Amino acid sequence: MKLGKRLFGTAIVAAMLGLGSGAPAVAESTIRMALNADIRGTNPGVTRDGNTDVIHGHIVEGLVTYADNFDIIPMLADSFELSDDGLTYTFHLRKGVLFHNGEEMTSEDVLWSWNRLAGEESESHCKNYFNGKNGLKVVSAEAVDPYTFKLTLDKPFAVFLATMARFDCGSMGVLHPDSVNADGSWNTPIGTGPYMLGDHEPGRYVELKRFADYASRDEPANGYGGGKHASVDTLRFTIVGEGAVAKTALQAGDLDLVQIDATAAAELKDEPGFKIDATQSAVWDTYLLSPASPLLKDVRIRKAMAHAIDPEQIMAAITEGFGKASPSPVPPMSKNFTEVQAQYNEYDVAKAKELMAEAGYGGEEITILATRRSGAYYERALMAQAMLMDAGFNAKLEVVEWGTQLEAYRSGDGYTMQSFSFSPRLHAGLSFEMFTGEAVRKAWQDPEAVALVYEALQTNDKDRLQEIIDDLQRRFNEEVPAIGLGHRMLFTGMSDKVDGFKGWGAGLLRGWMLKLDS
Amino acid sequence: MFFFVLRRIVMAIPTFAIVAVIIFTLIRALPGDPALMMLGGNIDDESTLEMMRRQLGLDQPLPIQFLAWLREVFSGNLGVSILTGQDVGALLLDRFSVTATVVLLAMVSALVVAIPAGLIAAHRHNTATDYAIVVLTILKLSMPSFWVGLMLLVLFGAILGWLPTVGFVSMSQDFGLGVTYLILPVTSLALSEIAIMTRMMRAGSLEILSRDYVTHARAKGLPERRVLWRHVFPNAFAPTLTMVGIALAGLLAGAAVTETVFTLPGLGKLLVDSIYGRDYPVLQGALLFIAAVYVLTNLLVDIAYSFFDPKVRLS
Repeated sequence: MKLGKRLFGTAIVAAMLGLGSGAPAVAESTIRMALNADIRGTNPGVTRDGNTDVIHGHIVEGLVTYADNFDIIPMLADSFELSDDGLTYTFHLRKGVLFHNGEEMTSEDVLWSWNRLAGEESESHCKNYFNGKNGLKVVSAEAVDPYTFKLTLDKPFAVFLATMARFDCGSMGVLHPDSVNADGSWNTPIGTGPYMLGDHEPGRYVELKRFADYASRDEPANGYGGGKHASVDTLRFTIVGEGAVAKTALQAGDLDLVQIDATAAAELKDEPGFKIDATQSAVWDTYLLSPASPLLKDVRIRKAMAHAIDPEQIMAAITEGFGKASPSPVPPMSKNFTEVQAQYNEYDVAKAKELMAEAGYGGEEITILATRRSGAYYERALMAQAMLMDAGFNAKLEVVEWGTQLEAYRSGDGYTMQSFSFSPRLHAGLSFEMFTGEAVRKAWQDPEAVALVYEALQTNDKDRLQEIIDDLQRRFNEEVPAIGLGHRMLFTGMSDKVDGFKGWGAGLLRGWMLKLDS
Repeated sequence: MFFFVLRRIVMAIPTFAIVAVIIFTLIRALPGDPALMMLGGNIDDESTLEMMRRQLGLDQPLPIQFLAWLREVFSGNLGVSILTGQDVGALLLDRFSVTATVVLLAMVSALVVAIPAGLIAAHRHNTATDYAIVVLTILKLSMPSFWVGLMLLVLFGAILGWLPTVGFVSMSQDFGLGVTYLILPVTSLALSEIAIMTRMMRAGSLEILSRDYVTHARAKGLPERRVLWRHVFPNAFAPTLTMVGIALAGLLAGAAVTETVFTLPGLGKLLVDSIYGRDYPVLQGALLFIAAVYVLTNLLVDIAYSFFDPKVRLS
């Protein structure tokens, strides 16, 4: 009906202009989606941000990737094994995997791609994950035979495969060497993914075209891996900066699937012709406490603040009742989330006041830094301010734009507490590492905690890992370097013509799962 | 005329020099680190951050960065975008073509409505027609552009389904379809300008209508329509034209709100995105470009002014 009217409207305009209908032929199998900002480039692992990673993730694939439950599973590798000394990873490649230019992938391509991102001359930030600057060092990369690839580390590192699967590095995506020009400059991604890069009109839209010769794995779809049986010919991402506009476009039938906020999800929930998906992600919404603040040196003040803030109320409010509190940095979908991670400093204003009195709190100002970007940073800060004031804290809200807040985060200074979020960390050790360490930006600088986090990233012993994660959680609750709130709910609104969408804790769209109901 | 234009162009050179220094200094004074923004806050160590800064040329001292930029500007190269790697000059021209199309169409539409509306309101001063026009203009002025844009989208896109709500097709690609994408943003922008221009035109016309030469024109038996168009309009329009010049330059510099609501890839949206992304080359290039737009628009308005007001001579 909407399409008929739309064509009618176009026809009226065209008639007024003395033209035939200018409506374009509508592709039969196109799903139209929205990106809130344009992609930063087409070079996986080099030009990137969250939106760009989603596009790259359809074009390139790595040897390994994340499963639904965040386990590491093979992707372009058929299988992999670790040597007894824990140093050498051998990847047996799948045969018959084709690049978008029709050539078969071999270990030489894998080696070339590895050096492109992790080599000394690499322009990618990813090389610093593998050159020892972060504790993990790959000392050799070798194409043993056409279907065998070997990587050797200087010492065992438990999160090596997880680091290889990082989304910001395109899962150390394997590309055909023709992806770069003869002079070594970047040209276009020739990957092995289920979609190829189509038309990109900067600032307007980017399209992905289905790769007809895609060699899918046999298993069912699983996380970012498994079988990828793409059925939609074109995935078109229109750049729509405003969430309200994207929602209106969905309602108007101009878009088929958009990320929405909780309010829009509540509105669309019962609207005929639409459906919504609400999925808890591994994005951790939190309040970081400044390690540089003299006031917060006293743990009793930090604990008082934690008891003054009610994560349940705040999460319910910012998710329109869809979400609930999960203050631990470890996401509930993690296999390391146990009843220990479910514990936190519960909302208890009387206890907060008691601790404030004990610590001799004298009305010192608590500056809460927040921004108005999407993700309810501001709303979370506003509610925390009200709760802190209710407990007797002199809390002041300072709203800045994102660049300014990031600068404060990096310096660890200029705030007492800030409303912040961390992108998904899919290993429990990394869930603590993201805010624990010696750098000034890290909220938790306790040497014992730092050592435990380091051990968590080293150990291959699952039981020991759980012990460490439990220990870190108890210390986190005692020392309160940050006040956890919950793991963000991601809302997706879509036309009821779209099938196959499945939300995932990692928060990445998987376009190959989508189907269009004729 | 030639010497007038030449003098104005020469006078613009120091203006640009001052603008360049101010732009560079203010942008660097902004808190926020482009390298940090590029990494999305996910910095795992300082060396990664340093590497990114080096790649972006931000590791050099500020005076060296400034001189390097100036040297490139003088050679006609505005650099490449930190965010997308696109050539800034080409990017600005591409985005400006979108903004200019929307703004010029909106301004022409606004003038076509506002000039007669302002004249009629003044001519029928203190009548129901006058009150209606005044109330409508105040009502429109009171509505935020963002809200008006969204309401147009909801009404004509979502409810009636007549016009597209997102995306943009250039008229050069497909004229008929391109027009459908322009109707709502042009209407939204024109509505705001109609309200402002109508009030300017009405105020100017009221003043002119009380002049002796208008009374004289009526006394000698000229028809009222001729009095209005021959005697009132040219004299009342001159101050409105000044307003048109200022508004036009402002809008050409980027109708950011309209472009955001209607997902137009225009200059305003580019400017906003480059501020949020700390895309220094684009930001610097765009602000210089906007300064040029202001200089040029005001020059054109000054030339046009002489046609409406004989007292003004270009010398």
